[in-house]
Amino acid sequence: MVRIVLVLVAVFIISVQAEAQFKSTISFSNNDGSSKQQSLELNISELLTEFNAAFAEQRELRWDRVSSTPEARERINSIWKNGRFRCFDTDLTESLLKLPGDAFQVRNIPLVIMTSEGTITEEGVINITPSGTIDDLYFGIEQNKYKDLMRQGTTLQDFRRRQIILDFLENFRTAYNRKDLDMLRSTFSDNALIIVGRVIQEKTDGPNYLSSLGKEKVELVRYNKQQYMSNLQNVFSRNKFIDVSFDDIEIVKHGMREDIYGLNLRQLWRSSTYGDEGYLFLMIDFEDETHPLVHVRAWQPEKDTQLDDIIELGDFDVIK
Amino acid sequence: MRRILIASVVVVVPLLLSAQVLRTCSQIEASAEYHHARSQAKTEKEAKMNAQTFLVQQLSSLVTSRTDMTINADNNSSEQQFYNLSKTISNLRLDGLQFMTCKDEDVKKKKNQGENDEVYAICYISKEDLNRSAGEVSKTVKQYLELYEQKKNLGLDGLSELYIAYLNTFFTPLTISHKFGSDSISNIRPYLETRLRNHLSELQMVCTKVEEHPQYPDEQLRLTLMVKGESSVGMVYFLDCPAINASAEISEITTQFNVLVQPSAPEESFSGTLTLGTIGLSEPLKSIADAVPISRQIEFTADMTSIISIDFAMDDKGDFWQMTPKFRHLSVNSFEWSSNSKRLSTEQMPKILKEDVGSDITLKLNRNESLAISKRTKASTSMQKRYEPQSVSSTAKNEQLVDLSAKEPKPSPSEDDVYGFANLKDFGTVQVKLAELKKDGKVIFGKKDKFLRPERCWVLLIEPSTKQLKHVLTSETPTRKDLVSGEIYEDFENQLKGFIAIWLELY
Repeated sequence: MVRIVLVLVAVFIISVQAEAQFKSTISFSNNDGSSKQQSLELNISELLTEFNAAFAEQRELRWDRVSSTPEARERINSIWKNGRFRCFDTDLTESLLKLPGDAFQVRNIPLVIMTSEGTITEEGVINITPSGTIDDLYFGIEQNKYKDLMRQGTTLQDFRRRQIILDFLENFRTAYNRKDLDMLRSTFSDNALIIVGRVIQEKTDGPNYLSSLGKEKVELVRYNKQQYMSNLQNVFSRNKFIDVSFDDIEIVKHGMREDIYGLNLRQLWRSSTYGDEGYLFLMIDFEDETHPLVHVRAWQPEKDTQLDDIIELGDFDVIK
Repeated sequence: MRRILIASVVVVVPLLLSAQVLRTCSQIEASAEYHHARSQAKTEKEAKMNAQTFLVQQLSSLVTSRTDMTINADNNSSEQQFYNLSKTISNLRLDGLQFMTCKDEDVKKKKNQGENDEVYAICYISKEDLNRSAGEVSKTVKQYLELYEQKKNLGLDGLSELYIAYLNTFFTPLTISHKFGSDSISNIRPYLETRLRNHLSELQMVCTKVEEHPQYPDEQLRLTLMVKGESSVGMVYFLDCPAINASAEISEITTQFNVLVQPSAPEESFSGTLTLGTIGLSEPLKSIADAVPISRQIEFTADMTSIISIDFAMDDKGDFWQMTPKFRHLSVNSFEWSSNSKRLSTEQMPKILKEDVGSDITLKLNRNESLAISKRTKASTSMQKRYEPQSVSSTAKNEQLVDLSAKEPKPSPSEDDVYGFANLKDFGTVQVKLAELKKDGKVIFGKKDKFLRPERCWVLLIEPSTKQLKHVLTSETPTRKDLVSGEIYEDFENQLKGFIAIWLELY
């Protein structure tokens, strides 16, 4: 009898621990009390809890309890395939943010991703359609940096543009986690200019010991979209896991062209076979706000690039 | 053909009707559809200007009562400015403002009779146009309110957006309503004003340092002031203290405030006006901000002990001492000389009989125990030099300072965070902690160049944009340890750039 009781107690403890470990609930700090917002809270909580459960049980995601768009399911499944993750907080309080076009966003969701190389923590961003269905999930830039960039929005239009730019950037970044070639392909314009900085050793003649060591120099190599995509496809197939993160983001609006923005940032690339840090420049055309296009992508290695040599928006003449 | 004719009539007739409404001044004045004002002058232009003045005055009386005004606009510009004696302003947007020179029968009649050779003109705007202008203003106001809400949802304060929204409400004489969450506000302007005034009322001014002005050390003092409370990014606070001829703009965490004052006590009180502002205002908004300031009276105190110096000289004149007080940065209204608790004189430069002097002599200024200095004495000439200041100089540094606490900085334990700086998160909590410690005499803080031995200082590094405390560096031994990250820095000033540094000497 005593043994039975002990077993029951043990089962009870295990189930309580399992419940406490895997359930993540979210509440909105700016909840207006409407039934729509309450059901949104429930839907996101279900999604996070499903991440936790599937992570612990090492299985694929089940979508039967989560209201989501087919695109969201496809994208989140792709991320999942390349690295499972879970939410490491049980009770979250976050703001429900409004996006242009009456959509919503919840940011700052703490996620830990299990990769073949170890674990990575990320701040998850969930996009929600105006009707309250989960539309996308991606890995956001750090909340403080996001706030700093948004704080600089001085008018509502500027604020919204910044939202779109950062949304684009976070989606662009997560496309690497998903190995989403289609998304990246659609992001670059057909005539996109791709510049990649390559470090070369420049050998010098002469007896001088120092000069005989050679001088590191960055050579800028130009690719077209097809070449770049082909290279990227090889990278995706070689690496089980890819994680790209962005830092030191600067947003510059073109002086003459309202829809052209330049983004300068530091890119940290980590993958199963390779890692590097470099300066990334993107010239983005927001003529169609729902489908921003990258006209120029330039990457330069951080170590061997002087600050004055970083490619920026002013280096290009924009002719449309 | 008949069908086309009928259609033409239907379209043309309303156009003719609407054109007829604007035909004469009298018709406009008789219509309930317009706000209008008539005026006369020697020239047509002048008459129109006057009419415009009256109309703007009439419309603006919806905003507030006013007594006098001047008009800046010279045509049917959509924006007019005027001021009254109390400096209230209306900078109205009046899209659709129109003018007409009056040729009515009564004007003609007066002219024919030779009674009047002036030109009559009318300035008018339809109520529909006025509402449309108000709608445009309302749209702008709501955009700033939405921006405020968006920023608030992100955890940003967005106060400057509220302020700009408030200023924009002055572009229309009509009220603007808004819905904040579940709260419906029928007139947003007083609501915003209250919010802004509440913000201002919660701020306090703290003086963290007093020093001599580098260019005018004898006349002016330099106070380092700090806004305490929920100060907001993007906001500017203007401090004006007319009594001491001093003003400052505080847009950063601290500001330097030059004052023309000589204190009369170790702690000096100041009072002034603190006014809200924001950076990057456009010219029309700036003029509104100047005319309808959101201000409050504010008081703060400054600890003057670091700059006040008191000393005295004793010249041996045979049977008596010739006493000469020496003080700096002090407004003195009373002197008291005493020896062994016995009052000897209240003159400024008394002659004191040696036989009256005991083992010490004390000078007390302004009847304030804190402004007193004592010297041990023996009434002998041989000891005289010992009691005189070692070197009397015009600079305070060489004089004997009144050190009320007489505390010497103790070398702080290199890694012993006894005051818990590493647990502080942001500038607000740092401010509170430093104010507490300062009150207890446990810390002196400021910029590096104000410390004789900065290597003994701890350094707090604050990220300017987020106001987050990022590094807590211990004193130099000879490296500094960051108690937040555990990192060791050999030359942190070159390794950690772009931070606001607060240097602390701990006691």
